[in-house]
Amino acid sequence: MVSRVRIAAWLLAVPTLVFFLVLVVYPMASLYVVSLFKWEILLPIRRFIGIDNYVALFGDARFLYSLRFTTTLVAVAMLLELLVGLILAQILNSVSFRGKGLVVAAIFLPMTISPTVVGYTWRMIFNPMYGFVNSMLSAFFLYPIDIEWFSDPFWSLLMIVSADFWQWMPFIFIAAYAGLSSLPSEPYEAAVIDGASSLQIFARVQLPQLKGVIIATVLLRAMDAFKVFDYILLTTAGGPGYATESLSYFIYRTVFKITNLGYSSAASVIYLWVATLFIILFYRVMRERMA
Amino acid sequence: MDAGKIPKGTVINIGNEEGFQSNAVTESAKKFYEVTGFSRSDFDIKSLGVPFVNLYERWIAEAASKTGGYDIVWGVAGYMLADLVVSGLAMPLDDYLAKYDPDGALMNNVVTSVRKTQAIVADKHYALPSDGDVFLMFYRKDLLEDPIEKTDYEAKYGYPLGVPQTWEEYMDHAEFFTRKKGEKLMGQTLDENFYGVAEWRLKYCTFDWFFTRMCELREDATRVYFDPDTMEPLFNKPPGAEVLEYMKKLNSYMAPIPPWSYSENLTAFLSGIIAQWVTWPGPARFAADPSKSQIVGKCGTSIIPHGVVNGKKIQRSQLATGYCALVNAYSKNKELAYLVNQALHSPTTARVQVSISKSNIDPYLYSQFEDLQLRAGHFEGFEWSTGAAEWLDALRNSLEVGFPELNIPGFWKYMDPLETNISRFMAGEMRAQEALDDAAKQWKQTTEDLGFDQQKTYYQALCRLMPP
Repeated sequence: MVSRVRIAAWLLAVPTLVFFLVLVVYPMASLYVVSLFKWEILLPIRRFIGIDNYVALFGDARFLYSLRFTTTLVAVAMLLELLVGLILAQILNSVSFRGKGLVVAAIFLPMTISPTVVGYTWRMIFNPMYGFVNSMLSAFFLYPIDIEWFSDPFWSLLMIVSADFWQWMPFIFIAAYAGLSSLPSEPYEAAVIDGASSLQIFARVQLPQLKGVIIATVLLRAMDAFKVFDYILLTTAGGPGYATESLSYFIYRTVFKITNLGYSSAASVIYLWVATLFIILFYRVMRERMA
Repeated sequence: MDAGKIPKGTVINIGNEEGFQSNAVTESAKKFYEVTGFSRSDFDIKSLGVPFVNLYERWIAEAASKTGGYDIVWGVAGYMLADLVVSGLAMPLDDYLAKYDPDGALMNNVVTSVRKTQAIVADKHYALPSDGDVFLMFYRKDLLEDPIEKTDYEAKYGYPLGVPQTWEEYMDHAEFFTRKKGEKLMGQTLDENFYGVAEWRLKYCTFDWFFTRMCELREDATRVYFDPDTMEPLFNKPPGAEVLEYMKKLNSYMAPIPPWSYSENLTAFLSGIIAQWVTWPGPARFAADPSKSQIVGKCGTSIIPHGVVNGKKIQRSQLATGYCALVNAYSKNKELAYLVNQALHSPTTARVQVSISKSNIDPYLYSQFEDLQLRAGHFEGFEWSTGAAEWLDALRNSLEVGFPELNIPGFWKYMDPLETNISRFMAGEMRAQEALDDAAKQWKQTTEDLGFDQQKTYYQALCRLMPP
């Protein structure tokens, strides 16, 4: 009887296992294998070269820069999104007014837009000549502002962070807002009776209870932020020079411009490990801070 | 073609740049059915759009995956052809050409430089040319005819104002016509800035503007990219750095519309705030259309300025991008695909592609340049008030001296470091000579990586297609 149940269980698991092997294990194993080859897409060049691709990558200033750029971008965007998302969630959770649902939906809206559309939109609104951003800044400061959003490394980074922030801050917001809405009211009421201020209640009572939600949300967001590609392709193409080249963009370039599959596979393997380590580190820091 | 031999439900899929290019082919396919008597129930022709920025990736992915999903790959820029040949996507067409175009009526109708550079790799035919893409110069005729501007210009530069003949004159025009809001132009006070020039500075497209100048500053066209004997890169030798400095100086006379690509520049030019522009042939077509342009009747077209080497005038122009159409080696219907490809390049159907308003395909057949209807400005869906014949003549003259892009295997392997370094130079991160020397070093490495002898063979074959 037990063995029949066990067989049935295995049989039921087979489709999932097959999908997992074909869609996850096989491509991942292929990635590691190809990374050990000099593998040219255009020409029939396939030669085993051991860890040469990895050695070359760690001597490649462009790759190292993209690594640094990506981690900076992820760290800055994540912190901003977390901070603003939480504050916004707390504000909306603490007030009640007609049409609140509409406001929440409006904040949520950017998430539903394709990153490609966001990239094109950013290209238009940050256009130094016709764009909305320079016009708005000029009107605000009563002085003509001509920021070169696409050709200055610093401003380009800021523009890409702003795209990521605009589109993904709502993700943190909505998770935090849902978490805050579902918290039990007793600890909150007790803190109010004890005379705690709003800030103290949020920091000492509500935030610790949201720990799990925040960590899960931030981890999901960080994994996604590491893949940043669309905005860059459509706004700066990694430029000026390679000042805004993320790891994803670097890998795309080595596959489709340089057509060196071995090198790009090695970069992808490093990318996976860096992203994993970064996320583990982020998780630990968050857990300790929120304990 | 015998309809009876074609299996029911056969579809010929054409991969093409989405938008105007794909639309033009769809329209010409309608003409194909009209003139051949075939119907869509015999076999269907579908044009499938691919975004411009993804064309190369899509074709490389198709070469790697070998699906045969596209029977005809149309959106192939000239520079991609060698890559698609060595990757196995493009099949040789010489046998089909011998069988179906025995007297050469099809290919001999193509302007010679286009026929060579957008069809041939290592002395074999792999594609049919589809587009007369070459750099032309567009300028504002009204500015050049204005008496105040003429007087001021001559007083400042010491020679009469006219269509720029040299790159030095082009720079003078750029400087002269750049005016701030509130200043006067043609006696009128400007209510917005006016710019002397427009060019692309979008990363991965700037090389065309670099090489269109470099090719006019070498007496021997075969020595622009490499030394054909040693494969030593030559673009970093004089006057390479000067050309980059020249391009950077031009930036100060351009509208601040980074990333300075086609659509941004076109919008600015059509709205009447740009004096001159070296680019692909399209803008004149839009400038003549009152629904799109504020400069109807004011846009002049000319061959680009010439270079001077050792006192000798050198007139060439970059055959930039220049689409061609190949038959996918993995197609299940190769012969039918070839025949459809040939039919869509015949004078009757190809005329549709260049004459409709929603098209970016530029004339490239001798029959199109001699077409009296087109010369008179009678296009399908819109009429050119003036300038159609002038545009056609400038285009034909430019194509005749067309200079090819580096159509050898590994095109982007070569251009990527050059583009990156030009971008870094423009951003002030590198000096001009340093940028070119570093790119040249990477070119040498790429040649070694891909096989010195192979690359030399391909480059020497390309040299045989170059203009004198």
